[in-house]
Amino acid sequence: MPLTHVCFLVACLSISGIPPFSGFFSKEDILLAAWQTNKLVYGIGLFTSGLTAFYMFRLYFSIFWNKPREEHPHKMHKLPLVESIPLVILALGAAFAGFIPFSRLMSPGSVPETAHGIGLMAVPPVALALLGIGIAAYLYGKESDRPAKVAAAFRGFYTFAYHKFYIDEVYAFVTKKIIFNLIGRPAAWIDRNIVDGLMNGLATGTAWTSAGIKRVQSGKVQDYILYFFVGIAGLTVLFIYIYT
Amino acid sequence: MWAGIILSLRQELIVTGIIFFLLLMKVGAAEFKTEVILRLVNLLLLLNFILGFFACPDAVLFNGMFHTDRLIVLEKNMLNLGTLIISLQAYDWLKDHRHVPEFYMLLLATLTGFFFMISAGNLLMFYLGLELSTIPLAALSSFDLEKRQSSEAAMKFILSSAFSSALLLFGISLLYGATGTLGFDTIAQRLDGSAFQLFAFILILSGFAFKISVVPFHLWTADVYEGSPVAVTAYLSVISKGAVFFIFIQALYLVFKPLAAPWYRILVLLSVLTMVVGNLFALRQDKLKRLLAFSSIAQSGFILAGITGSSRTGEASVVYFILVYIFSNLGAFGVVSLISAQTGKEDIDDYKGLYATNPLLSWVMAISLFSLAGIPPTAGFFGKFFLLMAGAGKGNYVFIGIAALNMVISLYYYLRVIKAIFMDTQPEPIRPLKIPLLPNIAFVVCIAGILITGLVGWVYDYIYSLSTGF
Amino acid sequence: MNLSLLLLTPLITAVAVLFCRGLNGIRWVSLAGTTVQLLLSFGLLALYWKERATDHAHLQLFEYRHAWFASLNIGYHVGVDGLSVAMILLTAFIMVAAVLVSWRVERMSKEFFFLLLVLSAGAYGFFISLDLFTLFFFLEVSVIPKFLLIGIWGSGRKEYSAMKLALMLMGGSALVFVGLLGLYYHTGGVGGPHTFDMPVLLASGLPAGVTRVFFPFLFVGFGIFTALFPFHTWVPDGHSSAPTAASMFLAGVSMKLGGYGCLRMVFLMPEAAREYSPYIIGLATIAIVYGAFATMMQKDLKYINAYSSISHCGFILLGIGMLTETAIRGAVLQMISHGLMTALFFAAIGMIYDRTHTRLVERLGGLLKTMPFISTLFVIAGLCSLGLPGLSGFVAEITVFMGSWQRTGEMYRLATILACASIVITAVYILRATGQTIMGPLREPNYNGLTDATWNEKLAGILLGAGIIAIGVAPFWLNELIIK
Repeated sequence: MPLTHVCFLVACLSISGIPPFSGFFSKEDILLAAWQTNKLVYGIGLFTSGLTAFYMFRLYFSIFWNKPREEHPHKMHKLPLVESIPLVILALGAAFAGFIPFSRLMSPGSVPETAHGIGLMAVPPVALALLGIGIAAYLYGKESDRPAKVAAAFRGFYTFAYHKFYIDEVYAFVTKKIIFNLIGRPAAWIDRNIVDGLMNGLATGTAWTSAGIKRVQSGKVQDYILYFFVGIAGLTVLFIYIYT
Repeated sequence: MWAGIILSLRQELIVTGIIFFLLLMKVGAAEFKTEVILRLVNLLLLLNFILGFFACPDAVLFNGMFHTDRLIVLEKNMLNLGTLIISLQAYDWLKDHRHVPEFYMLLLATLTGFFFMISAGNLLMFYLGLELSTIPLAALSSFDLEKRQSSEAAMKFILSSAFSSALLLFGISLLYGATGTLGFDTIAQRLDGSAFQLFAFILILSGFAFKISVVPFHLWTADVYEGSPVAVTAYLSVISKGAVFFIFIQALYLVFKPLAAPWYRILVLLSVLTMVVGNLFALRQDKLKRLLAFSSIAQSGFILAGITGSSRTGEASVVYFILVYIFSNLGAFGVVSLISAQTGKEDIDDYKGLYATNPLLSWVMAISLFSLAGIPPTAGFFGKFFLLMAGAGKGNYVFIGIAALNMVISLYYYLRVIKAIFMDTQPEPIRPLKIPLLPNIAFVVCIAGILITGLVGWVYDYIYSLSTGF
Repeated sequence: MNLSLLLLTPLITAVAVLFCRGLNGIRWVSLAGTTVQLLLSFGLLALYWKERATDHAHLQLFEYRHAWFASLNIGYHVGVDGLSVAMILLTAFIMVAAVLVSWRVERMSKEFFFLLLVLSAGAYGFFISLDLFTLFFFLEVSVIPKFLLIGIWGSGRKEYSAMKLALMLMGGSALVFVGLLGLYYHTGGVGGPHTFDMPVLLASGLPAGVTRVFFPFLFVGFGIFTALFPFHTWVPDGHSSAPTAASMFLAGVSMKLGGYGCLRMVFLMPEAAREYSPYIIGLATIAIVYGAFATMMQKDLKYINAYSSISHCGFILLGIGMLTETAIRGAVLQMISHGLMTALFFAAIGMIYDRTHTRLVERLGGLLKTMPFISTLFVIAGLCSLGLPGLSGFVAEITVFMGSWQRTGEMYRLATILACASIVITAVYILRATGQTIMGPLREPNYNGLTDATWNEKLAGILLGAGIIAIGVAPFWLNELIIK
């Protein structure tokens, strides 16, 4: 797949920030700005761009340089035109877009930015990128167990990074254990048993009161007459108390 | 002059006339078939009711003992209507009964008693009417001659009644001793709130409270309602109560007006107690008759809430509510009466699954219960609303709040019956019943009354225009 | 336009249903009646716009008053403003959809449709009433149809749920009742006539001491209908046990009766509302957050929707409580949006339940394969619930948030932030439920044979979905309507 190979290579070179591909220009501008603002950020950016070169070329070397791993590889079809034309267009863009003078076209606050030339600041990122490419070539250029050995050397860190620093697990933990179990489940339980329980409690309370006083309706006329008397006596006391 | 007196006494005279007619029928031709008698009597009652629409001239007769005005005429006619409906509903039960003319004679005797009681202008006349209405009622309670429960009910009724009448009479005599007069209008002028007069008032109040089933004088209600035949229960719960309420308002507003401040507090207390106790007991009932008994106790509490308003709205809302109550309660009792007469079943459990077999009866029961609960668009909603509106006029919103909450509690036990009828099922539901013509007419009247009396505003307005509120 | 037409149409349809024989007659008559009502509502909308363009003086249009109980100064007084028109439209939409979804109810279908139509008549009457007595009348009319609908045609613990719903709503009514009486007796000045009439009350104003005492009664009473914490517990059982059409109406319209009532009370007694606004906001925020968390743990689709209704209706109360114009507008938008959304959701769940006979999320799966249309409805409803832009839920919620943010002060900001944060929780439970039921493998092999939506269900879904999308994409017409 020669066309794909070339395009992929162009893309990798561009992303790694190798001049004269477009990635170089953008990285250089950003790193320059970072150097002027915050040296720490510049350092991290520099280091990361080296890493970028490393992992892109790891990919490149693994895919395009060694013998295919499978015994019976898939038959490789010719690339149809619909796919190859966009590939070429994008590759051309990745190669040459850096020469477009963006700074003259973009201007925060309607004042055109002044372009600045490529100075000494361009050297460190490119150097680190080349270093990254070299390491990748060393590890992945040929079939070998060198990558495995390196991984074994950094085993703990390797596993940590392999599991994406366990960030997903943290999310899952927070959601399942904390939000669901500590907040959601109690909320549902409270609603069912306490709030609704209050409403049902009102009903039960009424029924309980009703059961409590049922004895008064005893069926015996003597009791009725007694309550009659009690009623009159009560009213008399009440009435006289209120009125006087 | 005589013509005037006869016209003013017209309603009492007509009812008495029917009694004598029945007496003659009983004595003269013993061969009348029961159905013929029943149809005849119902026709006469209908005539009585229709004639009641023609106004009697306002009058004060017999030295102030008897007075009538348009509101009183309306009230009497309401009682006529209630009696007619009860009589129509009792058709099923009576047509197999041996003593139909006696039943009607006793019933109409009590009605006459109520008429005199409502028109009373004098404590003695009031007592006369009261006794005339009570004693035949006790006899009526035992009219289910085969059942022991019926005799038990009558016994309890007469004993409790006698006791309460004794205390009432004692109170009246004390009041006479205190004021020197028995006339309603003159007593008020001579009251000055001494402890002696207060005690007399409490005794008289207890007599009223007994008849309208106010706590703690209500204990006879459940047993008597349960044991009596359904028609008599219906009569007790609606006509008896209504009539006593009518005269109660007069007594409170007119006679005991100087004591308004204390009796307001007493009435609020009694109202709350009655509503709460009535509702609490109704929650537990499994027998429909007993449930309706306690529900009517709770309704009494509501009516008391309206009376506390002591204004034109108070009086009008009470009269209006009693009209609505007649329709609603008789609707419910009508269904109970029909089912009881044809199947003998009176438990709520027996009513499960009624909708599947007797949809029309179920709807009649449902609408009546909704009206009792106070749910729109039935008239019960308006009745209760106006009662509480009258009560709120005094500004005691805690009291009104308690009353409103009691409506929620009462909704529960009414809905329980609805639930049994519409939602539950049981292996042996009540079979499809055939409803004879006369009870059918009664149901139609009740439902029409429930639906129309509320939505048509004219009814309440008319009652309001007749009431004076003192 | 005679507003009483809006009230008469459902009633006439209901009576007509009683005279029909056979399932076909009953449901076509119901459908005809509700469609006529929908057309009437659109007509009302158009007429209202026309009138409003020229008439800026009156607050309410198409007023009509007829003395009902002259001796008590109670009248049948009806009229509409933009808010009422919007709510009437909402009810009409949901009713047509509800009738369509209930196409296959065979047991006692006559009574079912009759009760449903009476229920809707109560709602229409409520929205056009200007006299508080009439308002209360129509509020209470709906209690019995709800009880019967849930208790007879429902599922699960239907009798318990029906009883609980009826008693709790009656409790709310009792509180409103006391409040109404309080207002009545303090109007008209000294010796003047008392009245229940809202425009009169608005014009004459109420003394501050009175409103301070009675506003809580009225607000809490109406609030119980809108699931005000802690009186919301009738919602989960009530909505879940109800048959589909009843759930749609209950959650879609009945809960909005409370919101509408609360809003009218706020308009009537603004100073009292301002005094109590912190409490309202507090309770509303609790409802939003706590409702969302409680929803997360539910296993039954209907319970998920019911609890999420508590949370969403909390937004309504939050908007009302914040008392800024934008927030109140947001509350109204949320009333309409949530109404349509929850009706659609319940409709979809009902359709799923009819076919799979289960509502438990863990027993469902892969329904997209066999029932694509229903699944789409489900997804639309779900996305609207979590506030995806382009659907009405977003419009409503963002307006509430913007309105809430306008009130500075730590407590209000805190409430707004908490409410915003709960959207994340909403997303959690919606996406979980949707993902598990719709996507993934078919949980049971027999799901393979399930049919997709029938024509009536499709129509119902399209109707509601169109409403949701219309408001979501072009909310300005609704906005204008509410402001007026």
